[in-house]
Amino acid sequence: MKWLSLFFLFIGGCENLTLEEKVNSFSGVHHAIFMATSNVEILNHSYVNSHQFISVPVNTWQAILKLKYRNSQTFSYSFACLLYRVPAKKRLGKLKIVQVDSSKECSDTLFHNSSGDHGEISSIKSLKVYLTNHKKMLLRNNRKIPPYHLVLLLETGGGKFKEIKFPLYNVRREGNARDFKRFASSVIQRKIPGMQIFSLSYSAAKKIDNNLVKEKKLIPTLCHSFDKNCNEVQKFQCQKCQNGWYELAGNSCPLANDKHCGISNCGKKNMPACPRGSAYLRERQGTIAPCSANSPQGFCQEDLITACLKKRHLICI
Amino acid sequence: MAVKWSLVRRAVDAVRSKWGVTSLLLLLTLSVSGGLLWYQVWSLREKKIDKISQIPQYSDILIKSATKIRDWYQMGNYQSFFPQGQFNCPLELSSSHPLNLDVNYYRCNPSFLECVLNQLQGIVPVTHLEKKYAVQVERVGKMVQRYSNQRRHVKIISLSSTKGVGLPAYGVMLRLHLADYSLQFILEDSCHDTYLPQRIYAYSSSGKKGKKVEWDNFQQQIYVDKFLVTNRDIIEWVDFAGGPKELVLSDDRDEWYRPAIDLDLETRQKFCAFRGKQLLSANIYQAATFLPGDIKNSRPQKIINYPYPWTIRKKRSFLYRFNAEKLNKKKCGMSFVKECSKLMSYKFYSSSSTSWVQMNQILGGYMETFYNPIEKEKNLKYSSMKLAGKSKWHQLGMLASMNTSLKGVGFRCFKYVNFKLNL
Repeated sequence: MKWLSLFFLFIGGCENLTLEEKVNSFSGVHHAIFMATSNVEILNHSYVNSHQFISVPVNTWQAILKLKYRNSQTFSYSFACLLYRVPAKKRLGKLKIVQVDSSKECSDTLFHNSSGDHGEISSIKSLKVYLTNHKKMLLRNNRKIPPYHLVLLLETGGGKFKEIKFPLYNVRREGNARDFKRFASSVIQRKIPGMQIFSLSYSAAKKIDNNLVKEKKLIPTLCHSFDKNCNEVQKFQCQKCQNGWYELAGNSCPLANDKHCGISNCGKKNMPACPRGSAYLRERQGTIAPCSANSPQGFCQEDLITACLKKRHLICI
Repeated sequence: MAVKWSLVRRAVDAVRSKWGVTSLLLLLTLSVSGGLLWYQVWSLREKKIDKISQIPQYSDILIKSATKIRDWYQMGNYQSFFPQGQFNCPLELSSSHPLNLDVNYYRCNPSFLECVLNQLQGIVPVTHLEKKYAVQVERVGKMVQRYSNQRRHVKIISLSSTKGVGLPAYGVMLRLHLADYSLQFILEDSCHDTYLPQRIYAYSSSGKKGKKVEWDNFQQQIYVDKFLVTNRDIIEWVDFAGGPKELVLSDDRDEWYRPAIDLDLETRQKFCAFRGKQLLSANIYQAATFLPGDIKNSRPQKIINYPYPWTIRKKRSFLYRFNAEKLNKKKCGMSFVKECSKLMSYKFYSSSSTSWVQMNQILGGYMETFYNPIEKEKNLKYSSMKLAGKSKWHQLGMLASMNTSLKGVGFRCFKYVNFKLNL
């Protein structure tokens, strides 16, 4: 028994990776997650794109980034956190990525174990994190971080540095993800426009999650709505409509029309009025009229007039 | 008694020495097997690390291949695959490139991509760090007899058919393989719609009173189809994305690139819905075709709708006081009227009859139907190649009524997108 334990101790000890191997493994293990990541949330802005190494608070786990990526098996979204234990005098730093439930925050995972040796790097003296969107970043030493990349710069001792680069193919351009200008197509701007990456090593195609907005056949379903004070009460979900979507007139909110899933029949009798546009109303009429009978907020087919339904939406009667 | 004791002692010694040998043998066996096991574990570990470390490199190669395929898809440059007129896609497109078809047709066309991948036998050659790789494209699409008795390389995806979350409303999915690694990706359609700029527009009633209905799209992001929907689009919908099976569709590939002109209104609306769009409405058609007097001023005090899409001076247009003798190919490209058939054949998918936002096929050519939210009867762009050049119908804003059959009339779609993307 004593011999056997000694033997496994020996084998286990051999599993300890060199730093070079740890960096390569970390990069390889998490590459697929970053390829499929569509959103990177910076949890502490002082840690990202800073010229300073992350040095405080020492000997504590810090959540740096939260990643939203498509799970290649289920096609639904999963979440992961990039965590860093800031080094102390007698204890070197550690970097790991842990998966987290969509309902949880990264701070909830600070003391969780990672997936093992391959998923983390220890013996880090210091760390810098760079994250770029559509523009490249020029560092003080004239080094460039290319667009749509996450770069981890690790100091591993003896003044040596290791760099880990993760390309972010699915992250959308900051600001307007589409080009809202003449001649532009509706394609979303990413690292490679017109291309969405799923994942590496995807094997068997699984049934895609049916997580659409449930559309009732006869009653149109709201997929984005606002209250009377123009606060968003239902987040925009119209991208999940099975048959397109359209806007409704009547809620008197600038830049905030409610939206329905389905085929538009706006302007027809007993159907929603077609929105006339807020700029037109503000500039030509001086105000956005409240939802009321005969309101110019929407237009209808000839011989029909607008009427207000439930103080929210204009319909044609 | 003593003899007896010595016998016992001998026996015990013998057993002891036997045990000694046994334990020695056991130790030896354990050491050898332990060594072997250690070697196995070590080499497995090495292999595992190697495999993991290679992921970024293989990923680069696969991405390079995917980008190459994306370029083929977006550019539709058939000549680079079929030099010297050897075009050969009898099952997907046609057995030769039709002379009356513009190459625009091949751009973002899944049939063209499938044809190219068949031509390359599903292998994408890629060079990475001076090494050559052959990346294999898996057949992930559906097998449909009219194309082949094999599954296709491309898989058509749409929100309504795949019920996906955060997927584009319409796209093409592919899966690439290299060694043990595979990459799955979606190509989006970046070729078939164009942005309608935000500004104040006016819908012109085509009646004699010339009533105008002003509206704006400052709080809407609208993209309109550049081209009329083709038979190929409809066939693809039926074959691969849950379109109505009862539709009678021609198998003649030379019909496929022509506009879909024989569908009823409901089917047209459903097709647009399958692409996450709406049937084009008359006010948006007019907004995308009437040339603004001052493009830079998005809030003009007065809106004049000029009758021709390429000039604000109507007298300069060849359609104003039309003279058939002065007709030439360039003018026929801008508006293919009846007399043009003597000069040239109609070019399908051409972008020469284009508007200020690059919406094509707008005057002459094929009739087109809309949904009209203002004048419900006026649902037809009557201007077409059936009418002589001097016809008053060859003007923007001149809409006719078509109440019953929509035979012989094309259509297109438009879509709204959100400002913010919170997928």
